[in-house]
Amino acid sequence: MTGTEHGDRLRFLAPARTLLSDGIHPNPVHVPPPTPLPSDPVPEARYLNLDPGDLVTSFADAVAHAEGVCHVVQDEVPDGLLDRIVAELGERDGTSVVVSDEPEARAVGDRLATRGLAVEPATPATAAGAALGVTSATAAIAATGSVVLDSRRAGGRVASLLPSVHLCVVPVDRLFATPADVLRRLGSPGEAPPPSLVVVTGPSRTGDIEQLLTLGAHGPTALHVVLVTDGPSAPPRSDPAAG
Amino acid sequence: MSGHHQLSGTSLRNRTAEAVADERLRTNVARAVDRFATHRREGLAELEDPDALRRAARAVKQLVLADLPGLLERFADEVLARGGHVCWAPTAEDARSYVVDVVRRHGASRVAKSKSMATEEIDLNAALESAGAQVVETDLGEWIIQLADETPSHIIAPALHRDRHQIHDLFVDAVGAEPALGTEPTELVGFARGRLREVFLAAEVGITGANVAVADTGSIVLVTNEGNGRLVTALPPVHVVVLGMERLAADWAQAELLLSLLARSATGQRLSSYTNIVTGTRGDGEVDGATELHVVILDNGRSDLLAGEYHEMLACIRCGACLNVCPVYRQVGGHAYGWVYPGPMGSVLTPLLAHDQPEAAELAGASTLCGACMDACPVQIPLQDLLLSLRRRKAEAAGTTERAAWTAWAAAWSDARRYGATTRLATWGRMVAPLAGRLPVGRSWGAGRTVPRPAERRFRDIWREGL
Amino acid sequence: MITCVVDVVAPEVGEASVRVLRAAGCDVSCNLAQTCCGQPAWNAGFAREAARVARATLGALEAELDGGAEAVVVPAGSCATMVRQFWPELFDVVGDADDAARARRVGARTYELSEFLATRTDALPALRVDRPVRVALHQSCHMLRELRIVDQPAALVEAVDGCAPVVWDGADRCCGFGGTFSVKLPEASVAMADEKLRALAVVEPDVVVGCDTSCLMHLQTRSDATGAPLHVRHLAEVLAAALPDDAEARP
Repeated sequence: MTGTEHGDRLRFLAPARTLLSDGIHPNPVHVPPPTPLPSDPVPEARYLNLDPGDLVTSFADAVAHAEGVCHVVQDEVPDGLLDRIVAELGERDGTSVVVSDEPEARAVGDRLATRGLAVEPATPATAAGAALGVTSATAAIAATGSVVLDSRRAGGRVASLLPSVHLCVVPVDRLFATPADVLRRLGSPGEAPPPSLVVVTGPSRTGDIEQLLTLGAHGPTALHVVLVTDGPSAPPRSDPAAG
Repeated sequence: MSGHHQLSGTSLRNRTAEAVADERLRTNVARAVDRFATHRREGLAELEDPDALRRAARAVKQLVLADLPGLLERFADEVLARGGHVCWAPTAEDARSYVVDVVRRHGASRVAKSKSMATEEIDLNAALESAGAQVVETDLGEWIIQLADETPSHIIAPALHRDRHQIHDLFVDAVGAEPALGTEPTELVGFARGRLREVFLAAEVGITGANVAVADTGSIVLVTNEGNGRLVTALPPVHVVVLGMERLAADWAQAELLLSLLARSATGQRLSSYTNIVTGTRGDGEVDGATELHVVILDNGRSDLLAGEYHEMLACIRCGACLNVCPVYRQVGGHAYGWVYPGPMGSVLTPLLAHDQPEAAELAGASTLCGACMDACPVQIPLQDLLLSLRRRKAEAAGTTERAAWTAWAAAWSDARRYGATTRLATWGRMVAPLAGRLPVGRSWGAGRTVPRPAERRFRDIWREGL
Repeated sequence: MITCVVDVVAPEVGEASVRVLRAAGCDVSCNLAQTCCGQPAWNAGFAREAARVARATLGALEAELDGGAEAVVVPAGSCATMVRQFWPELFDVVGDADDAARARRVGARTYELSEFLATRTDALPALRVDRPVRVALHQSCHMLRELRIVDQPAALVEAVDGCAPVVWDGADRCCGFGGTFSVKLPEASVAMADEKLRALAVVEPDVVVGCDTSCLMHLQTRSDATGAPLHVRHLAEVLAAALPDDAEARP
């Protein structure tokens, strides 16, 4: 199903083509760098806060830096953590929970249901009234403390967007070092972006009132990221035995 | 945004004088820009060799601009292939009428907008309102100025000229907030969250801009901290994007480099809370997302800049870093620039895009050419050189008094003997200094500063006599 | 190169510069065919007029270099920037490729005073002042951001026994002069000066020092008008005052 085109693209682009055909006037005083060849790779940022040998700790630190909360757990989300999050919800309004269509999210949803919470699949209607949204992520990014949400995987967008608290459960084998590792693959064969791909870095915020940081503008006020490792939880950074 | 830009019918001098006299404004602006500038420095300090990245970003933009027509075609084809509609809009009116038509065809009366400077540039809100739609800005700062019927003060923080008390009073007066509402930022934000949540849920059409459009995949990237960009693209069934034709990247490597610099340059964050990548419409099995997508590709004077003296201005990624270091902006805030784009980038763009307004040409003079903006720009736009080019363009249209003054000056000072005579006159005309108060130039200097006195003997006299 | 501002308004800066250069073992010449670098008209957008004036100075400086001078030294950062950074573009813009080439050659041998002296600190005699002096350095925009002369002025102040630079807020922020800006947007210009003066008042320096008379004059005339006059000096004057009495060995 192709969309429709309005207006005449050739007429629109003709002035640009004409001007560009004579070559570009280079700025004479602050001269631009030599034009890279199309085959030259685009440089990547290198992050001084990233420890390539310990992505887990870098990730946890970065989530906290972005005002999120990171829990590094082994094998599965611990009961204690679920209880704490539920208790926190009780302080806000409502105890209803919505889950995305991802297996990791549904699994958490099932466990919350056994605790007596109302758990439903996320839709705009259910998510609008929910206090907690549970999702997984297609990737996590250590350098920035981000989780990457894929609407195709999740079956939508609202679970991570409408409720005040967002709980995101992501296995460590989806942890990448930098945004470049995740984003630069988009568009390559087999990596068509989904309808919505959101790189989430901390909760919603605004500085529009006197440049003071206030969380929870339109999106979630709190973001909990649970990074599930398959071995012992990552040792603290000061431990020399850490990888 | 429904305020009116003050460019036509006012002078830069009057607008800046008024701004400078407003203590509250200057305090608010200084606080905001200092915070942004500090955070930017701290954010960039986390990167290895940020200047190398800026050079690379400048080079990426050069590549994009050199191939812009081809990239736009590829982008459009990708959007179309995914069922999105594309409108090629050479003029502001083309863009406005297309968007109004979309809104009308859907019988829509409620439109939610995520912040877009391109839509302000073409005055889209007024056109939609004339067509009977109610348009609500959802970025908190933009909502505040919409309620106040003002124009934005800053690219990233449109309402930075208002403090918490002013915002509280605005909420009470304009949208019926309880006067008992506190003035703590959390309370004010909580109030706005509640009100605007209703807007997101009820809107029939969502309108956004785009920070970057990626040709390879027909994607648009919307960067926000608040989440309004996500809500506007998740809930309303129709999504309209107004895209400046120059805001492209060829592929994701280029886009990722630009995005890695955008948030850090604007607010110092590693990434904004939400980097929202929209590619086509709602997927099969998805419960939300727009089912209809329109991308309006806007020229409105941009293509005229390609390949010429002002070419590099098209590289701007609208981060606001230049505003945050500009010593003039710091004193006068955004409204003094009279139009959509303030600060150094606005001083260049406004004369180039608002060409139907003769007052725009003055903006090239809203700078001391200190160069701080160039040092801050993530894509290394040579703003100082562009300002000088604009001044030369303006000088060509200069009135006879100014031209005559410079011609006389050049005639005198292009020869050492005549230079000597005119400057000697100044030295024995130390009586000229008191007279200077009567001439316009002298009055402008002298209102607030003493007039410097020429020396008894010039350096060349001293040298001749034996130094 | 004298610069028109020093010539007419602050010749003591020129005198001090000559003394310091001689104390550093330099033989100083001055070709009085020079007038001005043309910057006022260039910044206002009047390139042809700027080029006419710049040509006179170009010729004078070229004659000195051709006559054996090793360098052109300028006691003003914005004028040095005009010569080195902007003269080639100025002449290209008015369509004069030959003068643009001459300008490139002259520019390549043109230095701002502190930039030049910083390469010759070993040749300077011991610099000292009798009483401790707290110096607030104002870093002028053009030499800082165009010529990238960042540390040299402070290094020279520190080389004076008894002088110490003080840290103050916004030392590298524009003072608000900006040439015709100061008279076209005077309210903004004065507000910018006031911000600098407020920051200076916090640290109460003994003297405010810079390498550009235009900036210093702007701050001085504003501070005089507000009744809180500052002690303002060009770096050359500070260094000259710190020279031992027998410093200048005339060749």
